[in-house]
Amino acid sequence: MPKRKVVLTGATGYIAIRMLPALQERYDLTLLDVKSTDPDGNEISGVIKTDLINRDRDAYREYFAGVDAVIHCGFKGTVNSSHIDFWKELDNVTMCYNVYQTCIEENVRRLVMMSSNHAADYYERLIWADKMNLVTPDMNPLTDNFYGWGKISYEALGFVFATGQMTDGKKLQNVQIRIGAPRENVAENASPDNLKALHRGLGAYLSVRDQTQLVVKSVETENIEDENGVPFHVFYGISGNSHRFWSLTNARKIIGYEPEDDSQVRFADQIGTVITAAQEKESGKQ
Amino acid sequence: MPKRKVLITGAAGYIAGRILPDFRERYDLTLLDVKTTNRQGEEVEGVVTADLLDRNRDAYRKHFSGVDTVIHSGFTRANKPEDQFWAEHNNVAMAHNVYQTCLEENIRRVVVISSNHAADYYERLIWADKMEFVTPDMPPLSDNYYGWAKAAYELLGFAFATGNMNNGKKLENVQLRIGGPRENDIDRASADDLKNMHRGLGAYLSVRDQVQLTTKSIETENIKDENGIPFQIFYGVSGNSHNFWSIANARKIIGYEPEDNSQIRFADKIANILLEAQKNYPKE
Repeated sequence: MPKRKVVLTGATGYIAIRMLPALQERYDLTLLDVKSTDPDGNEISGVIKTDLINRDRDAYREYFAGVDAVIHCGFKGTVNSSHIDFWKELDNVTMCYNVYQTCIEENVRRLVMMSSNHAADYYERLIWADKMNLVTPDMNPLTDNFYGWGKISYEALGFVFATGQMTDGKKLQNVQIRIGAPRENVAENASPDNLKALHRGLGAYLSVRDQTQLVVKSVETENIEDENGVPFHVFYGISGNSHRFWSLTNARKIIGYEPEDDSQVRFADQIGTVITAAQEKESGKQ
Repeated sequence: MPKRKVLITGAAGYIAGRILPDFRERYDLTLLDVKTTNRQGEEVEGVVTADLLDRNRDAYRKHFSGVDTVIHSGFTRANKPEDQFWAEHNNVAMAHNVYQTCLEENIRRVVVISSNHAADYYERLIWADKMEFVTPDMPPLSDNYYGWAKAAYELLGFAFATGNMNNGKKLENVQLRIGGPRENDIDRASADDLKNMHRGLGAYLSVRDQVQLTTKSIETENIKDENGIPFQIFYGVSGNSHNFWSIANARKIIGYEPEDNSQIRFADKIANILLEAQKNYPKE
């Protein structure tokens, strides 16, 4: 059986790199990005340079022709970590529109969009203030920053494309993955004085193999229609963490996501040191 | 007491035009628009031209200076169908420019004219008998670019209301999802399509209810939600028995007490249509 044809945008970026070896194994990949080197400066072979912010879609249309699925990791980076550059985020929304519209025009079956937990990060303020326990993907997406706002805006635009209402009834199937914390250092620098920060890191953790599984199942699961027949879903991109505060229930049910990792076990040694220290401090008070 | 200083954007437009006579009485107004004539081509007195799509906010900053409240009814539309998304993209950018200028010029509150289309996908479910009622706290789902832009700038308003990106400085804002601001929906109703009539009657917003809702959105002192964020979304509809969008939060938070109910206002026309429909009523 020939391999599935898949386009990966933002192919040299951090999120794409994590799953690149597995995706290259599994799919006939086209790699797109504005540059050909990864964040460490290594050349990634086979990257085609193109700018998806360009409103002239004919500039990159050819790469989408005959493709089964697109995995969109393309992103214009926010240098300022406080996420206050509105125009950059609006460019990210523009880029997503161009990707959606090109996918529709080129009959791409499915789009898997990298979003972020920041699409609904306002709820975290409530969680850490003990006013809330768990966020589910069907909640009203509320954020307090432009970075999260960009995510919300392009997720909601994905829903428009999934209904087919603007495209003569032609629906673009799409999945939005709200990536959590895709890194191995979530338990490093944890302190017995701030167990909430440790809980945050452990709850948000996403391993490489779980990210790969989630994306692959989002690409390959045949039916992703919601209960009203709209092929659209939002999944949280985290491992099966006991510490999670974002729900995975819908990803488990709809695409059969079965995460292999749980940060609590994976980082048990680091956690053990911290919580033992916290226990000693507690007993010292008694 | 001096009148409150209020700036209206899109002042020559249809929605602003409905509240303008009353607001000229009540407030010290600054009127902005890209043109000085209304839909009928009539000159609207006192309009200053300014293009809020300009990313250089210094081009219009002076009009915001010293103002208490901004009512943002400004809106741009596409000249050709294929540009529809980009026009809506511009509407989001315009809303950003207004929010950001308000914050910089210490405006106390912004009342943004949004639309029921911010969550119009639910109407598909309502008319398919899969849903009955929409409340403003539901995730805003739309199946079109127009509604998408409304949802996008409402949620941008929330970000500004938190103050998180502005050293804690919060921009109070209210989003009004206007329903059917016109008297003639009922004239298009027929006995063959009672759902369509129900839609028109449920969405109806009278001029005086629009005035009241907007005025109370400006003047109610405290609009904080339960977590202290000064942000609210209200549906802009009259007190219609046919309502399918909730105004319970507007009644509670700003004391909105609509005076009109489309069922009574258009009773004569409704009665004729219902009598016609009754002729085909299933016999027991």
